[in-house]
Amino acid sequence: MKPKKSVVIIMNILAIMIVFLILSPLLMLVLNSFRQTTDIYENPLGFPEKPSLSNYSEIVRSTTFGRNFLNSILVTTVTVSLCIIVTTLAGYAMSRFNFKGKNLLILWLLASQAFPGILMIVGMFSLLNRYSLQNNPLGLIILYTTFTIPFCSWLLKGYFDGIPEALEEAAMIDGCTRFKAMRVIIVPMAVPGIVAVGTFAFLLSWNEFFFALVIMRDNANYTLPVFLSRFLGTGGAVEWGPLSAGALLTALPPILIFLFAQKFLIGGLTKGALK
Amino acid sequence: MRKLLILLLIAAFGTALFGITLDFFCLAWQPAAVDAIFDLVDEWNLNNPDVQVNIIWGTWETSDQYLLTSFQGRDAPDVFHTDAEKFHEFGVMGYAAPLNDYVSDELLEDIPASIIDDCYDMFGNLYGIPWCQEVQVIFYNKDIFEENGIVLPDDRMITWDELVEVAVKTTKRSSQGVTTTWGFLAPLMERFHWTLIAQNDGHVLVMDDNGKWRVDINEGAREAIEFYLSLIVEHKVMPRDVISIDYTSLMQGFINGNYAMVTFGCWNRRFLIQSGAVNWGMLLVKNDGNKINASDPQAFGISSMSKHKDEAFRFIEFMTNAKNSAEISYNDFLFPVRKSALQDPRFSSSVHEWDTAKSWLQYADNVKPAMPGFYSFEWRVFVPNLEKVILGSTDLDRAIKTIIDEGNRTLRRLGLQ
Amino acid sequence: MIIIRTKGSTASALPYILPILLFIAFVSVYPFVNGILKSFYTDMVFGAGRYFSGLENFREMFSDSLFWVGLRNNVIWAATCVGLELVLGMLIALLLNLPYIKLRSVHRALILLPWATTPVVAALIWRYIFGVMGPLNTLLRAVGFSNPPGWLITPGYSLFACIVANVWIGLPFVIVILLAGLQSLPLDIYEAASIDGAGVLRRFFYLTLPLMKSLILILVTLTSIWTFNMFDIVFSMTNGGPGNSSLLLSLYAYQNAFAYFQQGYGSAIGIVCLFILLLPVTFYIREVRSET
Repeated sequence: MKPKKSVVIIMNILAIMIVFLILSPLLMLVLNSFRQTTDIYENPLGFPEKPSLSNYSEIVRSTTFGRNFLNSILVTTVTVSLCIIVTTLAGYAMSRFNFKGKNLLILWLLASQAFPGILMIVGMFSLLNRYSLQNNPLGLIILYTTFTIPFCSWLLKGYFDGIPEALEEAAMIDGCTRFKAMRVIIVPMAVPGIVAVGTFAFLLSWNEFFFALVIMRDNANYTLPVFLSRFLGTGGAVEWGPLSAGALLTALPPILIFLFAQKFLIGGLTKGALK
Repeated sequence: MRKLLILLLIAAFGTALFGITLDFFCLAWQPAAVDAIFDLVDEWNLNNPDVQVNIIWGTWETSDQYLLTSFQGRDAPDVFHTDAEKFHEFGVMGYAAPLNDYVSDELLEDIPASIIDDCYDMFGNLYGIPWCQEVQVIFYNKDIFEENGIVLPDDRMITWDELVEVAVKTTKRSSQGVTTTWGFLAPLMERFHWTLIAQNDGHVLVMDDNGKWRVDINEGAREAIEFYLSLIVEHKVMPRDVISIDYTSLMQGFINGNYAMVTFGCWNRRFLIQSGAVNWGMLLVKNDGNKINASDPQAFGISSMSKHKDEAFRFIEFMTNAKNSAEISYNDFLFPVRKSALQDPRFSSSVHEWDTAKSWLQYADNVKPAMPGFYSFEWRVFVPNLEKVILGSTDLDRAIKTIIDEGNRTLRRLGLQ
Repeated sequence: MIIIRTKGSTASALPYILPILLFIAFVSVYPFVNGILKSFYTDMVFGAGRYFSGLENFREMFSDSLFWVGLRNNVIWAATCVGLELVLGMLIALLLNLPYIKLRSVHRALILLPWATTPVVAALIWRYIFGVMGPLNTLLRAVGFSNPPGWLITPGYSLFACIVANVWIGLPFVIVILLAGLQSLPLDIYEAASIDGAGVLRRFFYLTLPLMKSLILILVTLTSIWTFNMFDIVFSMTNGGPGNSSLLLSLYAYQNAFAYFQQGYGSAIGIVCLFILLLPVTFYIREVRSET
């Protein structure tokens, strides 16, 4: 039963229109980043008349944007690395072993995804004080592991479940240690899942706002989302030009990494989280 | 030549090694004031290579949160800037350092007592040095006033009744009943209602001799609150937009002629001048003889955890001397607090109505209750209940009763009662 | 040689799970327990520290009108966001699932971009769009609405604006997962059904939905949990205003803990949120465990 040609065309156009509609706010952001604030106020829905990079140079040169960009990179890459190492080991263990307390661990990992941020930050506050981890990227990294590790370990467990145990058992029969078998055989096979987990952790960490808002206090120590929200403020007319440039630069790394890894991400998510 | 170079290197190295850095938390945001502060800090850094100052820019909306989490996190800036009356609170909580040993008599004499009193605690400890103040005024749209034939008295002060009259005259509705111009807009975030309360000898929070506070709304305060709310509910000359905190939208509304009058601090002149799109003037409200208006002084203080309090105070002295405090204030469209600084001729010029605003300085005073934790009371108890009346979900009597009950309960929990 | 497949003992698992156990202990269990403990204390203003107040924070919450406002807003927020995301997500996923749609993988990649966007950035963009003189109102005025509302400064509309922004961020995830689910459905059942005369709607409600039940349930619970706790959007778009009409519990807890100096009370609000989330969390865990 083949549909009419006109239906095919209409549906395809509809799909394209929907995608365009969904993307339009981002397109607006891109366009605004090349316009002057006064133009934006006068003509909210317009194209850049004289596209210029002045917003970009202003935000990079006259603010702490550059420093905050580096902060975001530092915190995110360390969090992601830690996360990958810990969750790969843990996911493998949960998939292959039956250890005491395994069910409890899994239960905690799943349930802790629902813990509200306020509870965790109030709980950690005095600890962070005592070890001078406030206003410190290290404190933020520690906080970020609270929400990246649970979800990612569960994801990887599901992924490892999909890799037959027979593979490493064959290697172990040949005299390999389990660890070596895991490292040499299983992990390379799990690369798509690990990439998915890494991307996910990157996304969550780079975009995180609440913890950074509470514990980072110096404008030199901010991460990018906090920088943007402070730049916004309500105590004055919003400078949409430079703000759009900064916002675009902030949103770009996760979007780029995500576009790169999206095949892995979707596969990893559907196989890991939901199976 | 080589010897000189080596000496310079040693000096630089030594400074880097032994020099100290002060963190200076600053809330200025209007561009000219920010530039002025940058210039002054650069000047200080140049002249004081062993005491370098690093500016941390904050925003007014988040300053309380920032400061409090900084103090609790034991990571506070050495010098910090906020409303003068908050220093009383921070001092009592042990976060601000007492400055009695540092201040000179000359400084104390140069600052009016009514302003610096806010920075003392009950035992005579001084916690902050005020440096600038404002006058809260009512900006009006000259064109709209002219269209409606409104003529202001010479001193540009009108009574409460006259305010209603003017607002009614300038409020315009379209044929479908949509209001195109509102006569008056006093946003809740500008706290004009506290000015009205003060002008009517009202009080909302009362401290007894033991230093305990309670919520006690007297007749004068109730009348003032009723007057404020009547503008929205009864006379319908003020929109519900007063509950908004979006400065940009409100000011755009004023420029577009949606509001004939708005209350803001005199610092708001900068925005109006910069936009250049509206013909504006300033006027004040009085309650017959009582002309008190909000002054909202700002001050600098030193955190009690700072390891360089001596140097920090030298920096504060530098920033608050007559010349510099005048410079920063002028660029922020505010007034310096020091009487000697006010002598600067710029504050008496007729440009941008400086002289008018200055003539009103004498009536400016702090209209907010000087209670620690006032911020919590105001935004958790007081304002939400006023908003309910404005939005029509309750009446004034019930709202006042709730404010008293919830307020006292809050004070008790905070240990203030 | 018979190979006995044992699942390994606890001891051999230890080196693998030690890192995660350490993390869980210090960074998950400790703050959780400590946060709960802190909710039994009240902070005083005079720097006199805190005192043990037992369940007073929770009693206070009961009579705190702002808490109820936040709770009401939170429920409306979560229900509307998840509902909109599900319905719109399913519609778009069905569209993209049509066999004759070209460039499906391109569409899928592009659609996911809002999900990868930083929520603060999204809040910024939508704050711009919903501005009084912003693009949306400009558009509305151009098509004849002479007095479009001030979206962010009018109670009622402000929460709606935040919902739109949050749906924009959350929709892509739902679309992609639903699409993946749809694509994995066996085609032969559908052929059999249409031969038997079942129309499009019947096929959807009696075949598609039941087959996807587990997936949808997991999706609903997961997005409910994420949405309920969302903080970034309301903080950056409206800060709970105007008049607390867009106040969410996450924001109210933050204000109490860090603006009104009451960490115990803020934490108590968090505990109440957790209680509420126990329902979707239980479903989530049950559903996910039953799949493995």
